[in-house]
Order: sequence, then structure tokens, then C-alpha cells
Amino acid sequence: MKNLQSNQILGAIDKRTVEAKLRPMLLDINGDEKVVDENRCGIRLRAFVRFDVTEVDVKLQSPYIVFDDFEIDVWPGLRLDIDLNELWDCLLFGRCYEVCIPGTNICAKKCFDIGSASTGRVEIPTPIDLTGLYKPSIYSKDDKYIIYPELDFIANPILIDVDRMIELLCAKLSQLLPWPLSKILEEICETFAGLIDFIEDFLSHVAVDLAIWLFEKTDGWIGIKLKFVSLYEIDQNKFPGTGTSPTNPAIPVRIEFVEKPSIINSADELQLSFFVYETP
Amino acid sequence: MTGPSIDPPIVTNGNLRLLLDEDAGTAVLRGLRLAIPTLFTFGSFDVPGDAMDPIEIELPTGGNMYFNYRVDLTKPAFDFHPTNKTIEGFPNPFTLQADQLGVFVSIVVTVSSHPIGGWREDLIVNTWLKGQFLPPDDAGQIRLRLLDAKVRIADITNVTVGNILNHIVSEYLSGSVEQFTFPIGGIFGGGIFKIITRSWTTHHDALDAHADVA
Repeated sequence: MKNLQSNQILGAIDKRTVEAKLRPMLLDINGDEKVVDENRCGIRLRAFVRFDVTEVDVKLQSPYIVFDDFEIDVWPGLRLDIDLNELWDCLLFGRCYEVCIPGTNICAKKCFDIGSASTGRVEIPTPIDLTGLYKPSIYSKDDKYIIYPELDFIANPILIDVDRMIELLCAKLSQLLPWPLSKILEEICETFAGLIDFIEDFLSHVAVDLAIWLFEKTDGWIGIKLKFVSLYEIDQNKFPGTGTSPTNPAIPVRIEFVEKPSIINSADELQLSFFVYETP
Repeated sequence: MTGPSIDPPIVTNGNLRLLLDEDAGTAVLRGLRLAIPTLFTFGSFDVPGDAMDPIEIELPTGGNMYFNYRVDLTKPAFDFHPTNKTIEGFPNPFTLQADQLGVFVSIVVTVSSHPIGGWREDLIVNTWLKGQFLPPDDAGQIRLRLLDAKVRIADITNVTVGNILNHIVSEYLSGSVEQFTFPIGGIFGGGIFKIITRSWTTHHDALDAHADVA
């Protein structure tokens, strides 16, 4: 028999109540997250994910949250902002030159100013069906504990064409960049080999990271860590439910979770348990 | 110490149940002291918030004498049924029923000259209070009422003097802080659930509350 321990708080809600509350809460989930933000050689690449939950049918069945239906519209997006002067200096030479008055040591340095360019946000709509089994998991971020559904089994395989994403991005780049930069990038995008290895690695790295963040590739299946679907958050440094208004000030405490807590217990109840200690 | 059983099913009345160990409650109480220091420290000097006036005493020979004072409620702690806590060497003297709880507080009373800078004396009054749970308010929050107080001062062993001090502390606390509202209703809030507390009791050193989710 398990018993409540010192400093422990445990709350449980019955299955029917959770299911009735969970569906409208999940349907309300939408957002726009920045996944990647890298800058090399004057190229700043940002990757985003915009998402909107469109259909949900959910029940609790220990130890899982079972989604008989779970559809999300996802728009992975990429944006490039390029300082063309910095890119030219990085890849080529000859943007700047020196002119001297013959017979003197009077010289002046002059550089061409190419300016800058931006792709704006390029999105690739990707509707996703995430019907399957999820185990609630906890992770820690920004002094909060966040409970999210982690995929355990998914009914339909999801494929994402990484090469297609890179192809779209390269096409956009080649439209923006002046010659000879556009010529160099065209060759790189066609062959993914070339003189400037870092751009190939850079683009491949970003696109694959984006795919991995959204999906985990396993023998042709794609799984997903839905860390952006936050079911519940607890601040690590204050008592839950406090700090909501001037008449309800935040009560400082230290919250700790046990490792791998069971959140859907054997009676299909939603169970939350943590330890509360004095703040140091 | 053995807490209440947490083998599923846990919800047996209403659709939500909350179990809170007394030591977790103590951590919250001590956090409350940091969050609202004016609730725990008051007097005429070195206090958070507005200072009160010094104590004025009329002298038999004519004129007045002034003293500064400061009261600091430190080391608050809970003892839930059954009675088994000893804090600062002072065991809980009350026999608690299931709808009651014990609250310990070490009251540091400082008396000083006026103006500050002359003499100063500190007195530590270790105090156990007995409280009782009341029916829920409209928001479903748990409320407490103070019933009794017992004090222990290290240098005072005279029973009569001790009883007088018990009476003074009990009268002062019940008159000035009659009811506390304990903030457990918001634990499962988080914008998802609104909780209405239905019933509660204490057993196995824990607060056990049943509630409905609105």
C-alpha cells in the first residue's frame, strides 16, 4: 500500500470530469513557435511552426491519454534575412577596392554597397493526423514544470519531405540574390555539394533540425513530441493558484516532482503529485 | 509517520480529491510569511509596512513614559490529526479532533527604549494554537477559526503566570485574526478547473479535502 509522504501534495480528478474538460481545452490550442534562429555569414535563418488543433476525441485509459481523433494543421515556415555585403565578403572577394593618386601615397578605400534581402516567411502547410496513444510527461522549462502528451503509438504514418523543404527555400533564395551570389547558390541547391560547404551544411542542418523537432523518424514512421501542447503548467518557485492578483500574492515555495510520475493512474484518474518545500 | 493511502481509486466523493501533508502545509505557511510580511510582523519599529505608535504609560509621579515594541511571528508550522509534532522542544499540548488542527508559532516580542538606541529586551514565546475548520465560503475555500492557545516561555515556569499569558495570547489572536482562508482551492485551477470544496477532514497527518469541479 502506498501512502502520502512528508511534504507531499496529491490531487486526483475522476476520468469523466477530465475528459469533459480536456476536449474544449485542446481544441483551443493554437500558436506560433520559433524553432531555430541561426546567423552565419550574413544569413539569418529563422524557422517557425504555426499550429492549430482542428479536431479532438479524447479519453483516459491508464497509463495513456487516448486520442481516437487528434488533427492539427501545422505550417512549418522558414525566413531568411540576408546582409548581402557580409555574404559577398564571406563567399567572394572584390567588393572593396583601393584607389590611389599616382605618384603619391594618397589612397582611398571604396566598397560597393549591395544592401540586404529578405524572403519573408515561407510556409509549407502540412495537415497532420495524430490519432494514437500518448503518455503525459513532464519537462522543466523557464522555472516551470510543464505537462504535455508524449507520443507512445500513432495510428497513421506521417511523411515529411525534407528535400522538398530545402528545394523551396533554395528557389526563394536564388530569386533574391544578385549575380554572382545567385549563381553560386543555384549550383549548391542543385547538387548539395560545392565550394561553400557551410551553406549546404547550414541549410541541411536547419531543415533536418526542424523536421526532428516536429517529428522523430523511425523506420518510415514519424512520431511527435507535442511539447507545445501544454496540458498544465506549475511554477517551480511558487504555490499553485497564488500570485494571480494583488489580493492573492505569490507564496514562495520550492516544488519538486518525483521522476517519471504516473499521471493517469490505474483507476483512470488524472493524478498530480508533487512535493512542497520551504523556499531556500 | 504514515500518511493516508494513495492507492487508486483516489476520488471517492465528488469528482476531485486533494491530500496535503502537514509538512507541505508548513512550507506554504512559511512562504506566506515571506509573501505577506505585514501579517506576521508588527510594532513600532523595524517593521514592514506602517509602524504603530510606541506604548505610552502614565507615571504616578506625573508625565509619560514611552516604550517601543515589535512582535514577530516566526517559524509557523502545522500539526494535523493525530497530535504528534514537537517544535522548538515544545510538544503540541492539544488533543486534536478530525476537524481541528494545530498551528505552532514562535512569537518574538521585543521591547525597547524610546527613542531607539538605548536598552532592548527580547522575549521568545513559543505558542501552540488550536484551530477548527469551518464550513466553506462561497468560493469553496477552506476557512479556519482559532479556538485556544498555549504558550511556553523558557524563563517562566510559574503555572499561574503561564496561564495568564495563555489567556492574553489567546484573547489577542482570536480578536485580531479570527479567521484564516487557506489557499488550497487554486491548486488544480490553472485556468482549467474551478474547484468548490465539499468536505474536509484531517487524518494521518494530512488534510483530506473532497471537492466538485465546476
